Amino acid sequence: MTDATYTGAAKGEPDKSFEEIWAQPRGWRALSSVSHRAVGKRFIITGFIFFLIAGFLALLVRTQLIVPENTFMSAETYNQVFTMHGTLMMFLFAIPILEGFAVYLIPMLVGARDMAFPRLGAFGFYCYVFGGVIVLSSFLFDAAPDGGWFMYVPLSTSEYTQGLSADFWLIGITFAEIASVTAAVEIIATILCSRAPGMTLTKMPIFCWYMLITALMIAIGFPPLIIGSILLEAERMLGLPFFDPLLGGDPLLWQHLFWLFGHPEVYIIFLPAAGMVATMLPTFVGKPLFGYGFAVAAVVTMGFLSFGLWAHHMFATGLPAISLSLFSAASTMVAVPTGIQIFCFIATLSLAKPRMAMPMLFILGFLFVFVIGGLTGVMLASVPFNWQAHDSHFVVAHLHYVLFGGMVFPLFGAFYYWVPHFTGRMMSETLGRWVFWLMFIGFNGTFFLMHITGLRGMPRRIATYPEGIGWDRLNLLSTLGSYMIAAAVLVFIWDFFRHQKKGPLAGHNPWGAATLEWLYPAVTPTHNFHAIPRITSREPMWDQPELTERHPRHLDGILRETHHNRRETVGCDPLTGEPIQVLRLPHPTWVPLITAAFVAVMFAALLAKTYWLVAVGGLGMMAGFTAWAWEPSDSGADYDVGMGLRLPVNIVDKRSHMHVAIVGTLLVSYALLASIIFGILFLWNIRPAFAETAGLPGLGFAVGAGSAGLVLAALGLMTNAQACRGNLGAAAGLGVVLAIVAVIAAALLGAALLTVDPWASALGAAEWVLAAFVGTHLFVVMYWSLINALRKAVGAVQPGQTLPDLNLATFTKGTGGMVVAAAVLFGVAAMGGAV
Amino acid sequence: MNTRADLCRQARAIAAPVTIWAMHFVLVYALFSAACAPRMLMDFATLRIVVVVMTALAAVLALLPLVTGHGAEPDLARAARWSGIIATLAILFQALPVLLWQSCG
Repeated sequence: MTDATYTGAAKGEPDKSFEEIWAQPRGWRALSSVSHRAVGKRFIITGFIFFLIAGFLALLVRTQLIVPENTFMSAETYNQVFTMHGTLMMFLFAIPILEGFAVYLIPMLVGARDMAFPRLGAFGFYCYVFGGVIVLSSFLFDAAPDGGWFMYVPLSTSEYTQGLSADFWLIGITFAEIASVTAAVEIIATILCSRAPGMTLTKMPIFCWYMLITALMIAIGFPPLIIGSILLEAERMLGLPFFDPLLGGDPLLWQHLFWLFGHPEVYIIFLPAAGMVATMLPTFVGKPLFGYGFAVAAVVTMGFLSFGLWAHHMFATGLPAISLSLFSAASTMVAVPTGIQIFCFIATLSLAKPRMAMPMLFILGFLFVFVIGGLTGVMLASVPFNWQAHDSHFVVAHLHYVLFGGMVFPLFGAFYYWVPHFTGRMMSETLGRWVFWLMFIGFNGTFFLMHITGLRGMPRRIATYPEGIGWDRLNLLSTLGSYMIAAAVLVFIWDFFRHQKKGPLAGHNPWGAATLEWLYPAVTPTHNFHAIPRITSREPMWDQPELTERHPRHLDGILRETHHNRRETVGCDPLTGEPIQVLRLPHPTWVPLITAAFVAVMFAALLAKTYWLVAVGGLGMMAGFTAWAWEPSDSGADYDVGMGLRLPVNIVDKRSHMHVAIVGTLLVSYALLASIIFGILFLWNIRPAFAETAGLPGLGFAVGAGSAGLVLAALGLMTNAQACRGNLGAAAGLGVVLAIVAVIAAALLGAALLTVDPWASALGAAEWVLAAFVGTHLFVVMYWSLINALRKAVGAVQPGQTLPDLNLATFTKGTGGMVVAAAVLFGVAAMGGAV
Repeated sequence: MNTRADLCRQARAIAAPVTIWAMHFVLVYALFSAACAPRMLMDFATLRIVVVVMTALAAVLALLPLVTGHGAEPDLARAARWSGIIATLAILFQALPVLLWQSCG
């Protein structure tokens, strides 16, 4: 099919210029915007609001501890305040705001006009906002969570936490986590699949390496907590005994699942911030980052090794000593790549005298504070010391040195660095120095002293303490330090509002940076590249004079202006960066907001135990996703994009951004699956006596389910093959068969467990969770294959438009693998007596 | 000019050592759990032999990128080498407990 026969142009906006097509909708229609600039800024602003709320709660905590025997707050209120402080900071501030920067910056850094999946980004943002509102609204119902940000069981089970406080946490946070996972998938796809021509892996800005690894970590690290939250909510709501020792459950299962997420989470927060440092630092030194290859090795190895540390949060739980040694060793080893990375920064600093602009000050603050946090981390990796300092204020000091030092200092540096992008003006250097020094002195005053308070024996999470045992003065000074941090933030906010009118104009590339986000003068327009230039250097703004010698509107590049009145960018080979497709992008749409609103209804109704409304929310969500998917396909056309290149639109290929996203989604799914299987094996191994009481799955049904899983995978491939040959009728028919087999596979998995009572034992309940999880994927396969078949039946698909079939084939293969894994587990259980 | 195959090989050389580390870590953790949890699926002597053999194999495999990681992109080659070195150190270090302990402790 050629340009002339292309049929998808009806989605475009005729008679509009390039700028108009990329313009942000105004007024209330702005909520329909899906552009990365709008979504990224919204993440950043919302995240900062949560930072202010969580910071205020921190001030309440410190005020309560300012003097001994304080009655400023009751112990119950204090529990709520410190729980919400940690929860908001970790889940609703740190990760979302960094994702906001990533969503805002990545397309500009890699030479793309938008993220690969703008609607997904907008959907994730609304899930984040609605989830955050659910969590915060707990204050209105006097039901704020009070079990600590890690919600340990049995404290957070319904026996010890009655009411809805834990439910607010579990449901709200799980909802908000959707944003992190969707952002991870779109970050992976954008970095790998929409770079400018010539941008190979090693010409990629270093920030993209950091974000690529971070996104992969989110894809693998968040699922254990999602599964843990589902198990705990199921225990609270349905009485399933996952954590009940009397029925073969184990409270440590929650700790394992939580910290399997919780420790990588520290690096998920740290790595993007370190990526910002690695981006800003060369600008102020005037030299490229020292040791790009070392930094890549460090960030990749950190990404992996950080998953081997989770049990160092559990050193005091009675794990076998040899296991403690394993986690102690891994915890120590992660210091090696971290150190390599820090040395890359220090070596860069040594290349030339840095300009001491505001971002540079915060970078130095980061280096000082984070290194101290890292060193106390190595101390805590040692089991005997960890036992000594366990649950004391020493740990509070350590975690704030790592997180505040590793994330908040770089973040404030990033605010100063990138603020011209948003406002077109520079913030005040004078006020900025006040912000930095107040924050630096206040931070060290608050938390350095806390090391000593902790070593003097003060436990965390206590509402007050007796006087005269050596904690009084230290706590007083720590509280005064926290007020200094608050003052720093207030000065920053004042300056932010002040500079929008009085700050000096930023002009073009105000810092003299090397990266592409500074291509356009500030305030940057709502579009990224009139034409996408070829990139030949890692520091294009320094090394490619053709980029700076004329207005960016007139740069040479491919895909100049618009075709078919559509938003579009260039899709590339993930490795070489060479263009392989034109990537069609959505225009503003209400679908993400409406779909997220229905998901919010579903979650809120679950919280209120109004189950008919849960069903309404679920159906609305399905309708939203269907509307999302039901649109004319863009594949099948190809046209001249300039500079002698002719590219297909939305190529049907495994290197397609959509296919890469499906693989990323499967990565998340398999991490979820692995978390459930881990739970099953853990309970089986730790509680052998109770494993015997779980009923035996049916062997015949398990074998049948496994066989159905294999047939499912084969059918997915056959459907795709028929579609690729242009036999759309046969492909539609096979799609219907595929849907039927998915139902059969789910039924067989369920039937295999009919003899297993989920309320009788934790192991049995966990087996049912596995079946339900795989069943959910089978439902998706069924629904998706029916949609594909229906689209073919009504003529919505033309020959050559088979990307959905390719994606479904891959997803079906993955789901078939899950069915086989579950069936094997049930089969072994059936033959072995109890798994 | 980089060929896609060359880049692909170098990217794999970066990812391979840490993937081997991850597999080694999971296996060591699983073996510790098998030997030291209430089921006691294996004795400590067997655990020690299995971990030592597995560790030697994993360390050799993780070091391979030092040989195979070269290619058109020097930065990727350096990343592959250091990925191999860091992963190997981590593999050896996390297996040490089986030599230092006489039992599960």
